[in-house]
Amino acid sequence: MTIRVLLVDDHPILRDALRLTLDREVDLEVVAEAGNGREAVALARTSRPDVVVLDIALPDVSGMEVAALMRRLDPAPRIVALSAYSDKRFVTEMLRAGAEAYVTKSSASGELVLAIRAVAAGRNYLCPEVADALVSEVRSHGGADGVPRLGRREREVLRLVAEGLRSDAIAERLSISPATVEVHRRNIMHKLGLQGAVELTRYAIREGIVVP
Amino acid sequence: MRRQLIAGAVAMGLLVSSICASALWRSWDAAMQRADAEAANLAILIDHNVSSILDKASVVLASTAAQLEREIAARGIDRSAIGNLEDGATALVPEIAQIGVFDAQGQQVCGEQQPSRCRRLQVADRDYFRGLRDAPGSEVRLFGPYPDRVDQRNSFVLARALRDGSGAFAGVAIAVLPVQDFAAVLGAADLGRGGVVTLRNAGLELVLRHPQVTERPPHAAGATVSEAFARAVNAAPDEGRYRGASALDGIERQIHYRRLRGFALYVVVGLATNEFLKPWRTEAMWTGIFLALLAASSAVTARLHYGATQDRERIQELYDGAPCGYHSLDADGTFRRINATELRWLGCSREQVIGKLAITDFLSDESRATFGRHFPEFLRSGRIEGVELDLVGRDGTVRRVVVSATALHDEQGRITLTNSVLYDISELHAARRDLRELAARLEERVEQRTHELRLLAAELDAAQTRERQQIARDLHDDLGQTLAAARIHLGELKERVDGESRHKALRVDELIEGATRATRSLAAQLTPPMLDDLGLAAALEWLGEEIERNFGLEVSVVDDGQDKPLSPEARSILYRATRELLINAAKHSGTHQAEVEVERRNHEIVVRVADGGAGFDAKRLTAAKGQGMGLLSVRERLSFIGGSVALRSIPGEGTVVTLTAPLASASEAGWA
Repeated sequence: MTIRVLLVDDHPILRDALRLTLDREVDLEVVAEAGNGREAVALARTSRPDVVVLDIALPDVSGMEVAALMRRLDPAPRIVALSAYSDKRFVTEMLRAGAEAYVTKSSASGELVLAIRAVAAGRNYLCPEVADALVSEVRSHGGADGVPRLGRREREVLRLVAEGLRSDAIAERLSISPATVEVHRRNIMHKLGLQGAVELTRYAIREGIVVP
Repeated sequence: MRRQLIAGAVAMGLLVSSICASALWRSWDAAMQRADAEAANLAILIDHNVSSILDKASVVLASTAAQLEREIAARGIDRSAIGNLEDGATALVPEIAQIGVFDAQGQQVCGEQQPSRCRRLQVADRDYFRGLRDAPGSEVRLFGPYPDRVDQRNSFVLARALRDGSGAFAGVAIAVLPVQDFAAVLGAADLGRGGVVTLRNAGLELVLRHPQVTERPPHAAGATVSEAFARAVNAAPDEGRYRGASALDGIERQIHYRRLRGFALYVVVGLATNEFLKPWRTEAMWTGIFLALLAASSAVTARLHYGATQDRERIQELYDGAPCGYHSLDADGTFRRINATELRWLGCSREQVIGKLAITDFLSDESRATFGRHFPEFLRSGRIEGVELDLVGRDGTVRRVVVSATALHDEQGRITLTNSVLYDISELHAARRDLRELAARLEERVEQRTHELRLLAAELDAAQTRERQQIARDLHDDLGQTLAAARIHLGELKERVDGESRHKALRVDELIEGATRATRSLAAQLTPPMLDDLGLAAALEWLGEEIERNFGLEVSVVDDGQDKPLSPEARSILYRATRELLINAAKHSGTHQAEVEVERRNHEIVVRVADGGAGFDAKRLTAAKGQGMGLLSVRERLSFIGGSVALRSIPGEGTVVTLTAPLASASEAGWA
């Protein structure tokens, strides 16, 4: 049983190289190739691949958009995201859009083969470069030693929360939007490990930010 | 009785002569003022046109130098592209004959494809090079003019120091502007007969003269600076006037000079006073004739005493036919006597006026108020001179007249009658008004030009951004993808060979990996990859991390999580402006924390950048000529696309800069 692969990348040179690599594997078959997003969605519908190798930066439609559209097909192909970047923002956006694997273009070609086999078998896969980046990201935030530092705006929001103001009143007081206030509240609670306004208020009083 | 009559006639004659003389003097003075005002206006106009060229050239030079500094800070000057950079600059401002780049030793830096054009000059001995090397700062300064080493033609040199990443002197970029290119600007001014305009350098040496003097070469004539001019500049270095006869041609001129703002250069306009005194001469001639007639009439008056009645008629003729208006009023302002000239001005007959109408019946509203203010004082003091009134005739003709008058008293000291002389100065008045309007229009044009210059600067900046994005895309798309493909092919090769070949393949693989990393970081410096693919908020988060890594400034970026459709232009401006502000905060605010909030409000995207320290230095942001974007340029470019910039500084709490841009319509938003 061979795995049917659709290759999507707008650079012919790179696509040729990938195809050569994949064709050498006996269990893989490249059934179609696309150079842009619209073409890719159409081909996914007609050639029914098991796995789509999808470049993030396409000339017409973004890779996230394409992934989201493909998820709606029945049967939906599994998606391996291919990108030049290992930045966490690209990775999370792509995984959120429905990709099961993420492989950087600079990683060895064997990585792509491993990723295709993994998603075909129903598992997820991150290439080592991406996994490294995510792990060091988590470490740099999770390993906070000592007292967490709040920003100036966060202290302002915390003070107003402690005064009993609701988000829309805080937004008005600071002339920012309510949505931004919500983000600040989430960040404060996350940094301090608190849950809910009551715990927030208690913390603020204890730390002397508000004098009751 | 006889003696009284003679004494009265002589007194009257003396009064009229003195009034005429004073009017003549005023008229001469007015002509001189007109000459000065015209010279001043021409000086403003020429100053503006010359400054306009120099300003444009400065902007282009500063932009070119900024590009070179970025190259110096990165990998040194890109010698393959330097020719294009220079051509681009000269194409933007045609007055620039040439752009030159010199290293820290004063050796010209030539491009790879231009060996014939580049003369590999050595300029370490030039005063602009020494001046910029020994002084701090990166302003554009004007030097020269200097004669060319080959063809001896004079040229100005605009020069700017190049600084490397640490701010140390790394060389000089210059723009060469042939002096002759400014001849057209000087030649465009209408100087009248005998008028002269010159450009002089800081030492007042002659640089350019219009019209040109053929007998003497211009630079040789530069040695002569008249004492009057030197004295005037010494007293008022920025702008001033004096009157004097030229040693060159003996023509007396009213001269007005201005020092260019920002450049050590004087514009000097001299207008021949002769041209302005023509109407005055006619007037003086007429007054002379009139006074001669008056003297003659005095003789007649003397004869009158012998009883010759026809002489009295002649006096009446003289009174009626004089080229000025005469009238006598009683204490209420009602006409008691009036001459024919003034009756013609009023458009009335003697019978309609005498004893029935008052002078105020023929005045404009404004002049009636003026008259009301002066008349009581006149009745008290018995004398008034040089009051200007608008006389409105029955047919609606308005004349501007200048009035001088004396009052006659009876034995008890009460006013019985006033005697007034009126001169028609309508033409002079109109000329004055025209001049005022001209000045206002000039002011408007200066403002418009300034605006145009700012737009040009913003346009240059936008072009630079577009080019930068294109380069980043080329780097990523072509080079990056080709490298990735090469690595994949190499990977296959690696598996098939062993021994020495395998070792070599591994080494090549490392090299390609290094090249890939370099390409990616280069592209990211030009424009971050997230900006196009993930949008503004993600790009700003990435930027925050970069700033923290490179400058140690802790940046927290808060995004309200809403959709933010922006045009690529708006996205790029907001991104670059934020970057500029954060780097500024890292360098100057003395704090370790900054906050960026990105949110969508109604139909706008708002980016707030706040530091908790000493505050952004607003002056630094606006004055940083050619370095980064500058707040002024950000404002200009945002207002282009309908956005705005607001800066609020709270002492002790730092500064908040709020950037606003409109949401894009669906068609221009792209997929970010």
